[in-house]
Amino acid sequence: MHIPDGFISPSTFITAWGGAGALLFYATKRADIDSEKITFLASLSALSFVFMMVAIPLPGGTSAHLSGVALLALIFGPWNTFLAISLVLAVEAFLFAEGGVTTLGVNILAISFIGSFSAYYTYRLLRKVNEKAAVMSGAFLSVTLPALFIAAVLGVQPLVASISGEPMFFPFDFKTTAIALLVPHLIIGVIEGLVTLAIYTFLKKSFPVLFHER
Amino acid sequence: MKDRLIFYGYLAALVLFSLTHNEYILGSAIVLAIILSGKKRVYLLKKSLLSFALFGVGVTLAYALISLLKSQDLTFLASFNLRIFLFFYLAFWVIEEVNIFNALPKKLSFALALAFSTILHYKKSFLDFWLGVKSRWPGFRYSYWVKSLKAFSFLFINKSLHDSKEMGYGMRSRGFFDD
Repeated sequence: MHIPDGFISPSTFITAWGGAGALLFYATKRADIDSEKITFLASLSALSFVFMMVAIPLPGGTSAHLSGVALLALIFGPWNTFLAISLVLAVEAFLFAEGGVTTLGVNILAISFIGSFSAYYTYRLLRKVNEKAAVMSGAFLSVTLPALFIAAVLGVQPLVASISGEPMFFPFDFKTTAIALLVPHLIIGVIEGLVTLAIYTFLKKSFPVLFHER
Repeated sequence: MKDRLIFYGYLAALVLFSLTHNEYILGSAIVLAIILSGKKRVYLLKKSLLSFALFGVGVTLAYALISLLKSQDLTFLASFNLRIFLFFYLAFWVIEEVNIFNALPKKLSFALALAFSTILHYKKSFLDFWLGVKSRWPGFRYSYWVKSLKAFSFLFINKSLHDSKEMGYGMRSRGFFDD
C-alpha cells in the first residue's frame, strides 16, 4: 500500500509531512518517552515488522501479507501502535528504500494513524454488542480505510497538480483509483479480520495478562 | 558531516525534481547520477529498474491505454516515469553511500538505530521460526498454518515484552540513558 516517491505533488507531500509531524510530536509528548518506553517501542516496531512479514497463503499459489496493525492496536493501544508502525515505515523508507521519503508523511497518516485508530475505536464501539464482530470489523477497517485514504490522496493529484488539463503526477481520478485500490483491499480486509480474530481469541485465552489493563 | 551533507542534498533533490516537469532535465539528472555513482551503477540500475517495474509500469500501461483510446497526449508519461526512476535510483544510491544514522538528528537516529537493529534480529528469528514449523508440516493445510500462526504470535509478543525490558537494562548499565 506504500506510495513511492514521484507519485504525489510537493503541495500534497509537504501538507502530509506537516500533519504526520504534528501527530508524531503529540504522540511522543503524550507517551512521555523515557528509556523503558523507547526500548518498548523498538520491540513493538520489530514485532509489527514481523507481523507484516507473515504471508497468508491464498488458493492458486499466491499470498497476501498480514498487516497486524489492528491486533497491535487492540493489545498495546492506538498511540503506541501509531508510534511503532511509524518507526517501521521510517526504517523501511530510509534504510530499505521501500515506500518513499517524500511520501512518508502520507504513508504514516494512512497506515499508522488511520490503521491504528480505526481498529481501536471500532473495537471499542462494537465490543459491547459482539466482541468477535468488533475485532473483525476493527481489523477490516484498519486495512480498508487506509486504502481509501491513499486512493483519495492519489485521486486528488490530477486536480491539484496539472497544467492545462495535463497531469503532472499520479494521473487517475479518485473514482478509478478507489476502485483499483479498494477492490483488492476489501478481500484482504476480510482475510485480515479472520486472522486477527483467530489470534486475538487465542491470545486472550492463553495470554490473559496482556489484556488485564483494558 | 559528509553523510549529513549528502543526505540533505538528497532531500533537496527530491523536492527540486518534484517541481521539475521537463523531461530533458530529468533525463539529464538520471544520466548524471549514473555517471557519478561509479562502479555501483550496474547494481543500482538493476535495483531501480526492478522497483520501477513494480510501481511505475502498471500506472504507465493503464494511462497509455486510456490515452490511446481517448486520443490524448502521452508526453506526460515521459516526465512521470523519468522522475520515478530518478527517485528510485537516488534512494538506492543514498542508502549505499550514506550512513543514515550519522545524517539524521540525534534523537531520531537513536530511535531508528534501535528499531532497525531489533527488526533485523526479529527478522532472523521470524525466518528461523517459519522454516522450523514448515519442516514439521507433512504437507500444507490451513489448520497447520493457523496453529503455527498462533504459536508465532504468542512467541513473538512474549519475546517483544521481555526483550524491551532486557534491552533497557542492558543499555542503562552501559550508560546510554540519563533519566
